[in-house]
Parts: sequence; C-alpha cells; structure tokens
Amino acid sequence: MNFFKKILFILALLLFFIGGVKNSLAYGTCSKNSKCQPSNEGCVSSSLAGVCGFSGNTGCAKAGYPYQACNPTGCANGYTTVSNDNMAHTISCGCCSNTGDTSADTIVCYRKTCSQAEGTSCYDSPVNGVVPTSCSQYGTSYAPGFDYVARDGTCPTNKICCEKLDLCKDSGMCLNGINCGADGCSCTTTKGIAWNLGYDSSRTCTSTQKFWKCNTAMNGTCGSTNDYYFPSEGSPQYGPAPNYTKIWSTQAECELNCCDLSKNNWTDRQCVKKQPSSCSNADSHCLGVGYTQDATSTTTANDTCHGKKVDTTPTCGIANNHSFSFTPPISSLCSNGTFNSLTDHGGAWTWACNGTNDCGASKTVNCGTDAINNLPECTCDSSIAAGVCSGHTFNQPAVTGNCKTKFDCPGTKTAVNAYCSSGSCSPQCGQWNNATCLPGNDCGTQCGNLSCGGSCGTSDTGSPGMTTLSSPVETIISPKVYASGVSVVSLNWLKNSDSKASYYNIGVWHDEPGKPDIRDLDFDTSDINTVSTKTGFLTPGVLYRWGVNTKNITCLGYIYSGIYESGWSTLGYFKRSETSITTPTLTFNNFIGEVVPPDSTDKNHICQSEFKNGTDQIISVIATSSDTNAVSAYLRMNNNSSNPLLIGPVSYINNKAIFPIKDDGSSYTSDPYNVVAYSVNNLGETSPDSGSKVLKIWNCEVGVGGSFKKGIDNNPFTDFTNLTPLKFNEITMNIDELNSNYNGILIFGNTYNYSFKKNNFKGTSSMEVSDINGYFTPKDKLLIDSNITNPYLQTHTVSANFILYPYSDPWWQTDGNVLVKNEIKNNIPSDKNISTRGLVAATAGNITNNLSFVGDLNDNNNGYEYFYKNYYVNLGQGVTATTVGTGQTGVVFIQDLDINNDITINNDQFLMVVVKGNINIGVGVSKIDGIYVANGNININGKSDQQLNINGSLYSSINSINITRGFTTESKNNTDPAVNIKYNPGLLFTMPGKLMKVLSGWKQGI
Amino acid sequence: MNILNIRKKSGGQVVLIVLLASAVLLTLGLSVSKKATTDVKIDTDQELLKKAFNSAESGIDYFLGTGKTNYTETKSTVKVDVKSVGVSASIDSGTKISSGNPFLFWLVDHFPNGDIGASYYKGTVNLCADSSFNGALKIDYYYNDGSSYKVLTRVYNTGTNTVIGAIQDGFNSIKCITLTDLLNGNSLLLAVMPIGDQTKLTLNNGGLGQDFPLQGQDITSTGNVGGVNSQVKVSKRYKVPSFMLNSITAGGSVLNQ
Repeated sequence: MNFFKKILFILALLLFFIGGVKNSLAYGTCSKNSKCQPSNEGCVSSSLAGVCGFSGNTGCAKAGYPYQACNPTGCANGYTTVSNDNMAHTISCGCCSNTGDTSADTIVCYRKTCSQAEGTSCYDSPVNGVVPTSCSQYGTSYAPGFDYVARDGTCPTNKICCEKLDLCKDSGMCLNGINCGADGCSCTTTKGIAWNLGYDSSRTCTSTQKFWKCNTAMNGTCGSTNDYYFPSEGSPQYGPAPNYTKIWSTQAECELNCCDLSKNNWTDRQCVKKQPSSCSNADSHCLGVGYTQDATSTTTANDTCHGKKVDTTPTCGIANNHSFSFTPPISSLCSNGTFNSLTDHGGAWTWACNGTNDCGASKTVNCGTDAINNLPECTCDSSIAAGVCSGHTFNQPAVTGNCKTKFDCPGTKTAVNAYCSSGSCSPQCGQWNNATCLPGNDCGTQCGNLSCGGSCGTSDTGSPGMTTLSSPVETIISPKVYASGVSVVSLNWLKNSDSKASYYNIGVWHDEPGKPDIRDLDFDTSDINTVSTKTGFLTPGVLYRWGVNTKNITCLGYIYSGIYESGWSTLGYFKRSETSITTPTLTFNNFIGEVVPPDSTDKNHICQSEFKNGTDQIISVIATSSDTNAVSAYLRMNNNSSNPLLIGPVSYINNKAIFPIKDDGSSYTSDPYNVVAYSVNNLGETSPDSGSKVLKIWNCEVGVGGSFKKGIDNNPFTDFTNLTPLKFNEITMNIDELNSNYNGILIFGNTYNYSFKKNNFKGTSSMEVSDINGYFTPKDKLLIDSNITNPYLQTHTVSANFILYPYSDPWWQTDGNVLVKNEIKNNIPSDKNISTRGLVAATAGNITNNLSFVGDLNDNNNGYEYFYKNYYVNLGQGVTATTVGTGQTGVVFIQDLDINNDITINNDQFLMVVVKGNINIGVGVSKIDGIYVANGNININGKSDQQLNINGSLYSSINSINITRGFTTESKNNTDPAVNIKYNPGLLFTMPGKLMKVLSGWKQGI
Repeated sequence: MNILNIRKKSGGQVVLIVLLASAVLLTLGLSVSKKATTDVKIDTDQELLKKAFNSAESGIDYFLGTGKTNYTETKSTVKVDVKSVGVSASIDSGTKISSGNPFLFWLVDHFPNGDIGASYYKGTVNLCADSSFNGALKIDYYYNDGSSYKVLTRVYNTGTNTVIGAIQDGFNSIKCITLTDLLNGNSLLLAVMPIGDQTKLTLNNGGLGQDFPLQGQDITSTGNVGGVNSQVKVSKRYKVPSFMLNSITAGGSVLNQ
C-alpha cells in the first residue's frame, strides 16, 4: 500500500467512525407504548416498537412501516400533533397513536421553532426538558440571512417568542415605510400611513387603533416591529393573527385598503395587504394570487379569489381543498331511518339518522363517510341494526362553469391522497383554469366568473400619464445636497390625476463602479393618493436618483401576464453631504474689531473700557467659521434670570458673523450670560456650539457714595457751607449734610476728577477709595473699574470718602494774659487756646481759652501823653525818635511807627516804644522784642511764610489791635499762629528802676 | 345884730391876728440870722482846711524833693512822717483793690535807685482776701529760674465760677490761699488781681517764713493853718504799668478779621 492509499484508508476509517458515532446519537430505540427519549428530537413513539430517529420522512415510524397521515382533529385526547420543526428536514404531518391506544402512548410535545416563513410564534415546548428562557436556546438553525430575536414581553408567561430577525426593520432602516435593498433586509411590508408606532415596544395599542380584520379591533401590545401586531393572550385575535399582517388604524382605513364591503357582506374579513393579482376585476379588491383567506371564512361559490394559494406542485388534500355550496340530498341519507342532522367536515359529511336498533329501541345513529381516514362509512353501535344509514358516500361534486371548472378527485380514496384517484389530476382540485381577457373584450371569459355576465370597458385600459416629481427635483448637474446629518430624506411627487393611474412604484438608485443601477428602493404605494415616501439610509457622498412609475391595474385581470405603466418620471438627483459643518469660534471684539480678551476673572462685560465707543459701550460678538458652507450664525445666551435668548441668523461675511450688542435697557438682564455661537450651512445643517463665554450686559451705572471726614480727627465733617456741590467731573452728587455723606451715579470705566465749590473754602481735601476687598487707599482721581467694584454682581457700588483739611484763617496766639476792654476776634482753631498759660478777658468775642473771663478787666488807659510826661518829662527817661530798630533800648517816644525790620534786644535789655499814633508791622518782620504802646491802632497785616514772634507786650491804650497777618502757605494756618506774642517777664525786671518808683496812690488824710 | 356890734366884736380878733403874724415873722427872722452866722463860720473853716491840705501836699512834694520832713511858712507849718512798707511778716494792699487792678507784692528787694535787688523772699506765703470777697484772684508769680525770667499764672475762684478754668478750692475758710510751691529763692513778684469783686489783699508768711522785702514807703504829710490840720498820705511803692503784666492789653478790641 503506497502512502496515499494509506491516507485514504485512514480517512475512510475516520469517516466511518464519525458516521457511526453520529448514527448512534441520531437514533434511539422506541419500545411499544413508550415514547422516544427527549434527546431523540423529532421522534414520537408509536404503537409499534422501532427505531426513533430523524431519518427523513420516515419520521417516527419504524423503518419499513408505512407512514401514517395525520388527522389533526382526529387525535385522541392527550395527543397532539407535531408541526414543522424547521429542521433540516420537514415532517409534513406528525404521528398519532392508533386510536384506542390512548392509555399507553403519550405524545411528547416537541418544541416548535420559529418558522422561516411566518417568523413569529410563541412556544412553550421544552428543550431537553427545560422550558427555554431565551430564543437563543432554540438554536440558530434558521435559514441563511435570518437570525432569531427575542420579543420578550409579547408572549404569555412561560412562553417565549421567537421571530425572524429582520435586519432591515430592527436596524431602523425600515422606518416610515422604506423598503430596504437587497442587503438581506426584507421590509416587504410598509407602514400604514396613520400607523406609526415607531420602535417603542412599551407602547400599548388601544383597541380603537388597530384593525387587522375590518370589523374587529385588536387588543394587545404593539410589537417592536412596525405594522405588526402581537395580540395579547386572551384577546379575540390571540393565536391566529398572521404575521406581517397589515394593521390599520381605523376600520374605515382597513376597509378602504383591503376589503370592499359594498361587494361583500362578510362579517369577519381578514384584511391583508392589497396586492396586484391576477384575479379578475370583480375580485381583485380582495385577495390576490398567492394569498389565502381566513380558514374560517364562509365562502361562496363565486368567491373565486378566496381560495387557497395555488401551489406550483399541488398536492391534493384537505389543505388545498375547497368548500363549495353543496349539500347532499337529505332524502337519500337514511335508508331505514329518518334524517336527524348533517355535519359538514370540509368536503365530507357525516350525518345522523334516527332508527331502531336491534333491540327495537329508538337510537340515533351516526352515519356518513370519514373519507379522510378511510373509515367505514358508518360506524354504528353494535346494538344498532345495520342499514339505518344509506350507505352512501358523498364527496364533493364536480363544479362546472364557463370559465372555471374545479375538479373533484374521483376515484378510489387511498391513504396517500384522499381525494385524488391518482397523483396526476389535471387540473388539480382547487386549481384555477387560466383564461385570458383582452382589453376591450367582454368579460364573458373572465376567470372565476361563472356567469361571465360582466363587461369590461376600454376607458381604463392602457398606460397612465407620467407622474411629476415634487422634491427633490434637482438635476444630475446640480443635485440636491442634504446635510451630513440627514440620513433619510422625503421623496415627494404630485398626485397623478390620470384616471388610469392606480398606484405608484417609486425607485431610488445609485451607481457604483462596476455596479450601475443599484436600486435602493422599490416601493409600491397602496393607492394613488399616496404622494410621499422616504428613502432608506443614505450613504454620504453618494449620488442618488429617484423617480416614480405610475401603474394601472384596474383591468389587470384582463392581461394575466402584464400591467400598464407610465414609465419613469423625470428623475431627481440628490446626495447627502460628506462633511459636516464645523464649529465656529466666538470672540468679543470692540468696535474697531480688536478681540477683547477676558478679564482677570475670565469673563467679559460690556462696560469694559475696551468696548467704549465714544459715549457708547458696544460689543461686536463675532462668530468666525472656516467652513465655507456656513451661511449664517446664531447666538444663544443663557443666564439665571431670563429665558434663553436666541439672536440670529446673521450671515457670514468673510467667514465672520457679527452681532453688535448694546444695552438698550430692556433686551438683556443684568445677570451674566453664557454665550455660545453656532453656524448653519447652506444645507440647513447646524454646527455644534462654540465654546461658552461669559458676558455681562449692563448699563455701566455704578452707585458711588461715601462720607466726609475731618482730616484732623477723622470725625464727620459737618461744615458744608463752602463745600457744596461735590462734583465728579460734571456729575453733581447728592450731599446729606446732616449725616456727612453723599451719593450719586457714575459710569463704569470712566475716570473722574472731583471738585468742590471753593468760593470761600480754604483748605485741602483728599479722597480715599475702597477696593473690592474693602480697603481704602488715597486716590487723586476716581477710576471706576473692577478693582473697586465687581461688575459681575447685581449691584455695583463704589465707596469713596473725602478727608477734608480746611485752611484755617490766620490766627494769633500768646502765652501771656490778654485783657481787652471790648472784643476779641481770633480765628484760632477750636482746639487751641488764645493764651497757652494766661488769662483771657474781654467783654465779647470768641474767647477760646482755658482761663477766661467775660468782662472788662483792663484798668489801663494811660497813653502816650502820660508816659511822655511821667517818664520823659518828669523822670527824664526815654528818647523821642522817628523809628525804632535793633539796638534801640530804653523808652522811645514816637509819633507813628512802621516796623519793617526785625527789632531785637538782649535778655538784659529793656525796650519800651510809646507811639502817639499807630504802629504798623510789615510782613517782612519776623521778630520784635520789647513793649509796644500806642494811642492808636496796632496793625499786623499781610501774608508771610515767616511767623511773627513778638517777645514782649502789645498795648493799645484806647484803640484796637488788628492782627490779620497769615501765612502765605495757607496750610500753615491750620497748625501755627501767624503771629505769636510771647510774653517776656524779664522786661519787668530790666525796666529802669527809676520808672518803677512811682506813686501808686494817695488819699487825703484825717 | 347891727353893724357896730359887729365891728366891736371884730376889733379884738384883728389884734390877735397881728400879734400872731408878728411872732411868725420874728421867728423867721431870727432863724435867718442864725444860719447866716453859721455859714460864715463854715466858710472860714473850709478855707483854713483847704490851706492846710495844700500845705500838706506841699509837704509831700517838699519831702520828695528835699527829703526833709519839717518846714514852716507864714501862718502854716508842715510835718512829714515817712514809714517803710514791708520788711515784715505780713504786708497788705492797705486799701481794697478793685476788680481788674493788679496789686504787686514784691518778693525781692530793690536797690535804692529802684532796680531789682538780689535778696529774695523764701518760704510759703498766705494770700488773704476779705472774708466777704466773692470773686477770683489772678496771681502772676514771677521768678527767675537762674537763667531767665519766668512767670506762672493761677486763678482762684471763691464761691462762684467767676473765671472759667480757675481753681475752685484754693481758698480756705478765711479766704486765704496758701502758696507752698514758690521757689525757695529767686522769687520776684506776686501780681495779684481781684476779679469780679474788690478786696483788700494781705500777704503773710504764716509765721514760718522770713520777712517780706521792702515794698516802698507810706508818706504822711500834715499841714496846719490857723489851727486847722489837714493830712495827705501817699504810698510810694515799686510799681510797673499794669499792661506790662500782660502780653496784650487793649482799650478797644483785638481783631483778627
């Protein structure tokens, strides 16, 4: 054996081994009166011992035993049938145990799986003894292109629903009646116009919404698949509701689309989709070829379209049988008895006859022929005498007509074909005869028309006119372009008014390299009134075309092999954009276009100085987009105190859309806005929002206020006589003099100089401004900015206090006694004393002193003449002179004295100047020593930055001393006296002794 | 009644009336005569007294000019009596000092020419006012601290607040103020001014200090003319013009505007 032969031998052994294992698993042994083990699916036990297995149609029977036809209704209680299992093979009929063997044989209910054809069923069959909890437990042995999917919640408890997975529907591509292409999807049934449940599986269908039979509303739960209904258990429609049955929202709609009650009086009519059919004109309203009627419908002989589907390989039998209006002759049913009742078994009849049994007792005898089971015609009670029944067998008679003949299956009934004598009946029973009706012919030969009494005119024959598209209608050169976000678009056309138009066929195509004319949509409308549908999922960038072909099916029955159509309308072209609109950027710009960055708080507000344009505050909010398809932009502004604002559209010009914003007092609230921009392109597509920016829009008004304080002691300043009004630039503040404060309104971003009315005010002032943390710092000018008030708060205030240092009027001061006969006036500060240590006495005036007396304490009235006589004449003391200067001592007598230079003496010297007239002390004098006596006034006037120090005494015998001298630098008047008279006690003791030895008084003696 | 009867009865009444009128006139005449005699007598005395006063004044001048204390002229004689004031434990103003008039108590002696001497009073002083005094006393205390002249001022109120800011409790029950804080040397002068009331001022050493320096002289001159005497008493004290005790003194006003 060469090498290859060895290999082949080994492979053969492996195959034999595998086959043996498989066979051993596939087949089991069934004993009589026992059932096959659960592992032997597909097998039922029979009354005969044998081998269970899957072996083709041999089913459950032992090999070599004949296959028995089932009678679904004839099974004894406790037995059931096995329907299609959709496995690799098909068992047309299940097995039943032999009648009478009911106690021993138990039929196991094998699982039912979802049928490929019907899609959905609810089953409770266990798999290997376990009730499945999901469809996946049923396996995946579905037809190619199908999968299972659970429809949880749609089946009763302990049952599970399996449904063919329709990729088209379940992926959402069949929304709104869109037919999917040949990609495995098969949305062959479109949604109803008024029935748009979407995919909300939780939605409950109300009884008034759904009609699958025209006169019966449905109760139950909407399925997750559009247009399909899964009735609830217990509802009238539970169980037999056909899959893919069109659900209509109203009875009228159901009737309009399905049935024509005007022609029929059915009370339980199933509404199925109206389809083009080869039925005759008279019947086309109802069912088309290939569609079945409800099995329970009551049919009539001329209801030719309500027959069963014509099989291409017809098999006679009950499934294809058809009932006709036929009743056996009752008079011949009972030979020796009287007729009791007749039962129609769907083409075969049984009846009962009243007779007398062998015992002579009256007895009702069941008669008739069970043709299906080939049972004896009459199974009478053994106690009943034979011959009661007629012995006849009544089968369906042949029906003849001009157009159709439905043949019975004459001959001997066999186990294989109960009705046909052989398998070659032609035509088969229940099969239509074909007939051809030509336009213009009368209907004498219409199929299914027994009488052929109708007629068909020529007016509705032929092709209808072409339909005009409504949208999209763009051409191949300039197709309609939809936004990238639009995956499905509407197709609209104008209703075709041609009376020949019956419905529309809509086509959508696109081309691919090597695959031209790929049709994406092939959709027939249900009527001529439907003028809109939708595409399926559009691939971005693909150029689609679409059109409408109008069809005429009114006399479809005449031409069995074709229909009239208008041909395609002018095609419209469209595409879905490949690119989406880009997000714009958002900037806040000033009026000259400069971008104003956020401030230190990462925000912007309209009162920023950068937004100032003259007296206005204007923001140019600019959305910038690099997307050349962006045509306009919007602003959306949100804050906490108002409804969102949407501003726009504003067209893009040079990629910029500008939104001028100015506070008009009403359009905006003062809470900061979060501002975003978005673009809209020429396809109507909206971009994502730009990044959000914070913007506050307000009137820029800031409340300013503060207090007036005295700089000396920081107490409230109350003397506003010479200070009002207070102005910031030209804005006058409101002053509350009683409380020493003020308030007013200023504008954010402006700089203000403050001013007082200074007509009589002498002094200085300073301003201190609080920052946002409450710290005051001196400021020369008031700049209203974010350092001193937070622009993003609801209220905006600024605190600015004024510290006032009024200039004092010139004043004088001394350290000695002041005795004034009349009045003292001195502008001395209130905290100062006129005399630092002496007594101040006067009749009136502002005597501000620690030691004071109001009254005249001046006993002096000696003037020039007195001193001249007593000192100069009597004592020879003193000199006369015209002026006095430094170096002069003693007593000097002068008529008038102007002192313009300093006069000083030594500490041990004495100077007394006695003036007959006035003494005037000039501003250039800063120091005078000595005692100065004048009959006239002593005047000390003018301004000088030098303080005048008089070290001695001033004495005006009968006149006044006027001291108005002040400092040139007026602020010095606040703290220092311009004239300081410092009493010199030494002059008393440097005075010539001769002048001291005077008579002090006399009196007459006794 | 006839007319004659009437006339007889009326004649007696007339005589009585005449006699009464004569008596009245006589009385008036005698009175006038007495007054005239008295007036002559008064006029004579006044004339002599005036001459005596003039002689006494002339005696003061004579003393001040010559230092002599006696001289005689025709029909008149003059005698001058000179007494030193001070140099004792107590000195006084002699008379009541009116409000606003300062009175000087020297605490330092003077040279003969009147210049300030170098002998200083040392010790506590009591300054007393009249018991009825109801004003204030301003006291200017002059002293020399060794390098320069200084002055301190105090005001003492009695019962009422005469002077604002004055010391209220400085007087004792006998209206005396004890000044205990005078310098123990170099004290020069106490210038005391009554305010609001008049009083005689007395300064004593309280029995603890030395005598006060010489304050001056009291000069009494007695003139006699025709047996009529007249006295003139003059105090010759060391004195300065009172405005020199003040830094500002005005007979009018002191104005600043």
